Amino acid sequence: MSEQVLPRRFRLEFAKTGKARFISHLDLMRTFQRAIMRAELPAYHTEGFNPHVYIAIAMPLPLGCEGMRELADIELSADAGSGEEMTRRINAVLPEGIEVSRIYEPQTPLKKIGYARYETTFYIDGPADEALSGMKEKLGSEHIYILKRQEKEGKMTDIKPLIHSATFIPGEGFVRINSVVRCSASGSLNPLYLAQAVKNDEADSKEVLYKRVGFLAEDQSVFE
Amino acid sequence: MQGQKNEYMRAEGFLTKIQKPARYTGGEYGQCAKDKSRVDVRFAFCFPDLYEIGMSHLGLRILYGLLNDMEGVWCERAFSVWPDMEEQMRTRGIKLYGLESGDALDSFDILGFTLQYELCYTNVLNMLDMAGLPVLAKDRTDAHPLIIAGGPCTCNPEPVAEFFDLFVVGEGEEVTPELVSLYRAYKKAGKGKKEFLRAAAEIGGVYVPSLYEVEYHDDGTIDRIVPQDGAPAKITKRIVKDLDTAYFPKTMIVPSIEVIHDRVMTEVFRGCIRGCRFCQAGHMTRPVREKSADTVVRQTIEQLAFSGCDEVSLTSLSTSDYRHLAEACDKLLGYCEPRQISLSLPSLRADNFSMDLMKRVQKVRRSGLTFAPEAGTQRLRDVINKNLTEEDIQNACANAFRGGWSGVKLYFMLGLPTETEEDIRGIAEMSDRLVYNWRQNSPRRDRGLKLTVSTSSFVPKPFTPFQWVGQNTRPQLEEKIALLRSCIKARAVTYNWHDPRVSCLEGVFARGDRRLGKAILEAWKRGARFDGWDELYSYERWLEVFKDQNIDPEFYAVRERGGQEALPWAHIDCGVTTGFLYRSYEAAMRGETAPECTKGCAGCGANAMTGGKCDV
Repeated sequence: MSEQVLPRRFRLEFAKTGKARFISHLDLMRTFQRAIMRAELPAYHTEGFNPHVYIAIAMPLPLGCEGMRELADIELSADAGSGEEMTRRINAVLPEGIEVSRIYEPQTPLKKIGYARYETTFYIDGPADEALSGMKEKLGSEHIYILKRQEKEGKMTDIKPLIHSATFIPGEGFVRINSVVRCSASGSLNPLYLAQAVKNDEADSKEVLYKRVGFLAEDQSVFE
Repeated sequence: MQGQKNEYMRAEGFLTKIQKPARYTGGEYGQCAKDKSRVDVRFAFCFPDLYEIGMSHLGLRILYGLLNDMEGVWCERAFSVWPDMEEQMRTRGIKLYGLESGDALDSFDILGFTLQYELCYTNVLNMLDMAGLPVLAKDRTDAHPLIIAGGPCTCNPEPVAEFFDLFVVGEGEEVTPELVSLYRAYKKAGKGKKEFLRAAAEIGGVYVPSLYEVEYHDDGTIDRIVPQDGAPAKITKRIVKDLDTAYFPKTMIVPSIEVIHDRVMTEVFRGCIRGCRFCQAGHMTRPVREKSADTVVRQTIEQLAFSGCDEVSLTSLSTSDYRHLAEACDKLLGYCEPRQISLSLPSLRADNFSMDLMKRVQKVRRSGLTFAPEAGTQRLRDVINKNLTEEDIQNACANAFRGGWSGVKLYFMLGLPTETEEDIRGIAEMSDRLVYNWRQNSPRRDRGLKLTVSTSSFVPKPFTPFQWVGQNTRPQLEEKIALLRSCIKARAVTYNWHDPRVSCLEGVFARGDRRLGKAILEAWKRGARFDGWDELYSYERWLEVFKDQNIDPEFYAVRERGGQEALPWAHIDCGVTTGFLYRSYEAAMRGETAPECTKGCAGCGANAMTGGKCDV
């Protein structure tokens, strides 16, 4: 048969946790490209000067932030079995901390992602309630100005419009903020900036753990 | 000990505060995790440079695989930490740990360092100290791990003799398991380090520095090196006779972050037929032993399938001299092309370089071409026995240009013996002729030629015909660099030069003796680390240390040795005889070349190690 088989798009849903939190976005691409080769998935390669396995990862995760339901698209130029089979094959060859939960044919393009849900956990000394009310107050104001890392002194950014919602959970020695923030091609809020806005100075030296729980579409439904 | 945090767990909390935290986590695909309770020898392969540099080291890949294949032995990895991580760790009292387990290195049995180049010595001390260990061997007890080293610098490890318990000279595939087995037996029998070291000294290739006393003349040169306690008078390096049957790993650790030379590497042969007189590697790794094409293909495919890498390089000191190159490439391209894996062949010579082969090999991804004429005139090339004519280079480049290549790199050295101004001008003149060559032969003139000329400063090394020669001083080298800069005027040519202050320090240690140990110790105490890295290297600090320790660096680097002088490595045998090296030196001074091994044996002596026959 001399028919050209058009590549079919598949989406990987995966978690990036533990030691894998420290792999950068670009390195994550390379890691997946090699795992795909190891699993012998018939992935489509880009053309041109430096061909490599095509993979489109939905949204970068900040370094150190865990991701529970991250998404990446690949294209396969041949049948590679069921989604379950492909998931098994690739999980057998991934480094520690990266695990694919499922592989499926997507219905919505990745660019339609609108929001992301984050869990940010602040480890604190002293009573949680106090710290919590301080944070609530900061997030409650009309404008929330922060200084972004790359910007010069004096150029502050208002991140309030990028925050859709935030709930506060006190705990034993920690405070957690569950937030829904803008995460899209037209603008995103890095959870580190949200943390920067609510932290007080002492909290700076204590650990903060970041976790992206998942993506939402423009209408707030779970993005698949 | 449930719930107790080990070093890695204590470090995890601040990893986002430092650069490239994934250097310090482990967890890569292909790493080996064993159950501690079922292991009786814990080995840490310590690479005294950053993770990104060490992970592509073939020696690490081979020994890691080999040791982990041994029942009851667990080999982990440790690398030097960058100053930002060092600061965090020291402030919090976190010791250097193995990446696989996260456990502190001072709880291991053996720390095995690889000494790749002289400027890593302060990193070695820093790793020992950060592991919680005394850096001097005499300060360590039976409670501390055994500290050993292998790698190229073991041909003259005298400057670091005081820090190590033993050195392994030569190739590690056979001697390492022998050493570990002996260690195991002695550990089980409850014997101490001293007894173990005396027994280890009987293993071929093992050098126990504490068993040798060095005596000096009044003028500072060595009188004699005296073995103690019946230790062997000479240490003969180990080699693996048959590379087709020698151990080679089927698996590798695949880094999750970008590292240098991020690819599968398959050695195609060891040793070198050329005998370029400045080259330590070429002399020291003789006799020549090749792998068969089938071995190369099999090992490469195993590694590619395991790792999923999209690039592989066939490595050796001079890959175009590999007699089975065309056959191996043919077979490999059959595997690589459909998978879009690129095959790269570094270390090709301009005089036997095949354009056809290059074209096939570079079909997947094209890279630049590199040649190493080393000297700018035929006269000087003859002195160093780099048997390349200008015609060879111009022809190779003409072919390349016609084939569409527009990027060429040329490597040269400044400070070679008998060098004159004419030789330096010769480099610029050769480049000009190359530019003209490109204009005549390139079909795509609009793209522009990118010619890079790169010079390093010559460092005389042990086990070469130039081991008696004096190195140029820093002012001399800087003058030569300035001269070459002024001669290179063509716009298409970029000139890069290595910092001569780095080469001058290399020159001190390359042919140094034990008395340099105290300078290394002092320099490290004063903050020297990562001496091979521009941003952290301080030549001034080293000069001050030498002055304070009453050491004259020029005694080691610049002084010319007499043929009768006892050199610090006189008790080490790397195969090539001193007689051969000296005859080669005399021929160099007469401007005479010597042919490569395939054209006639020059009697270097290395063939004694393979029972008389080299693979040429």
